[in-house]
Amino acid sequence: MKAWFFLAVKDLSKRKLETLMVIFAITIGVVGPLFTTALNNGMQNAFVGNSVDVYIGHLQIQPNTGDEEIPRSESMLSKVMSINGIVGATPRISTGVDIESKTEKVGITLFGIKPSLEEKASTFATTIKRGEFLDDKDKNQLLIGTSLAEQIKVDVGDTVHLYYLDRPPIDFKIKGVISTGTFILDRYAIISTYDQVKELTGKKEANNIVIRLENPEDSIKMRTLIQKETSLPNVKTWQELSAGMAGMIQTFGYISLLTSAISVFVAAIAISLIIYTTVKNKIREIGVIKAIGARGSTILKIYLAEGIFIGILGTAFGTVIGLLLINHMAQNPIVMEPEYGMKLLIVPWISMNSIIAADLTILLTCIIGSIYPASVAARTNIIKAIWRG
Amino acid sequence: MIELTGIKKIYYIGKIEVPALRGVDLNIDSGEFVAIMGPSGSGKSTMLNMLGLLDSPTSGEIVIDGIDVSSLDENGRADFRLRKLGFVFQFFSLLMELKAVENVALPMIMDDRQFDRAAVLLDLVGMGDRMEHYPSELSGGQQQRVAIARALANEPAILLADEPTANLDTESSNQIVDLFRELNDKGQTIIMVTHEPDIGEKADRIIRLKDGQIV
Repeated sequence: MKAWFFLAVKDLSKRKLETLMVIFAITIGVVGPLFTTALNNGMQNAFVGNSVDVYIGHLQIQPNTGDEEIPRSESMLSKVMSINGIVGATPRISTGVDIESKTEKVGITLFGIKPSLEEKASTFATTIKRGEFLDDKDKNQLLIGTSLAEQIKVDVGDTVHLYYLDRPPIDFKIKGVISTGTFILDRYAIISTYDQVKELTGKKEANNIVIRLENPEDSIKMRTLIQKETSLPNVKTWQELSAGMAGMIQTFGYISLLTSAISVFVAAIAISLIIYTTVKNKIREIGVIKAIGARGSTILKIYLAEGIFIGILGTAFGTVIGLLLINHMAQNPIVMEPEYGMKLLIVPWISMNSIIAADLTILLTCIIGSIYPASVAARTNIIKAIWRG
Repeated sequence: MIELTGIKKIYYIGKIEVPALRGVDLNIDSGEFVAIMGPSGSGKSTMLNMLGLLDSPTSGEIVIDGIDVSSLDENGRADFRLRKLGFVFQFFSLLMELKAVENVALPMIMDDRQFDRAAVLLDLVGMGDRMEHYPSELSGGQQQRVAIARALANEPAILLADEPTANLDTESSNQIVDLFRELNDKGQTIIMVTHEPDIGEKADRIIRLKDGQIV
């Protein structure tokens, strides 16, 4: 057994209460960053994830600058779907219309989708709350968001009138009520079939093509590939299209980072203070240990070992408690209802890399926090320590 | 065994020179029991600090067992203290978080030795029945006995004691000096600083210091 290890263990076990208090401080210092990171991830998923899954897609082909439609969109769609790494792609068409129920008439966006393609290109089909999803052959049927349905007081089976420009109204039957977790689809839009909207508006081509990738992180690489294959320059990644929401999430990220930095700072101060106080209180004992033959490096190791030991235990407890807390929150997620019927589930989650990064940062902080008091101890003048300790 | 040649030690208080030792020459043979005596400020503790390699002389040479210890670096001095010297201090210098047996074992652990001899040493100083006691559970005299056992842990060439009886009652003081006497009879070299004449008289030889010089 090494003397430094023996003395470090004995010293810590003699000061159980102080040791436990610092371990507790480090535990809190670990739980904080882990939980705020997980919560931030959960919010990112809720705000950006829903939008990407249902509305934006991982990549989106948009019309060339100045155009409203994608030229030869059917042919482009075929080219896109033949590229490896693409799970699905679907064209969408949109226009502004007025919707009238028995009680209300409001202006909204009408989206035309191809239901059979949406099943691979988005999670649209899974957002049905009541009724059924559309079929490619449906005529005069539509989907409506929960919030809009509440606003104009309609439900599955009801008939509404759609007004396009100054043409006579057309009757549509509500086939399903959706809850996508996005404002645009739940509150400000209705959805019908692609062919129906083409027929209504007289448009020939899609307004955009939504693409789902096998790996969303490959968005930039796949964008370049699609631009090359289709010669269409205006291909946007989900990161670009969700930049507005991402900005909001980034703000939460900064808050999370600040909280983490404070946690790390508190951990460093706590460990540095406790070891410095120990060194000052035990200066005579340190002098005696050096007098009987301990090298300065042995003394340094004693107090570094104490810092590392406290750091490891605090980090381990903090990680376990943090993960239990995150798991509990994931089982019982926070439900946000910014609009009636529109539900955002904040399910916190954290990647292994983030856990490792947080743990290593705190552990490193504990080591750094221990270095100064340990070096003070190592440089102790034996005679001064023995006589003035 | 121990040769001190022209040892001077000057302390500085601000810019003022305070000479503690003014050129000490001294030889101590192996197996001797030497008492260093003198009034306060005579330089006796300073001399013990030099002999114990706890401090360096301003000038002069210290040779122990043929080694010029004044030329050793910090780690060399620490290693020499660990293997060749044993210390007994005036105050009870045990580590409070260690049991008696662990205090005695510490120098052996530091030197990567087997430490089962710790129990034998505690028996030797009459503390065999207090091995598992913490220092706070021992009297001053008992703590000093444990400190002596610790000083003997690595079979040192020299046992250095700085006022080992200063904080003890008469009975405990006599027991400690008797223990030193017994150890010396078995061949242990002992150098003891004391200001108590009746304690010093039990040594083989008394070295008297005054104003930093041997008189």
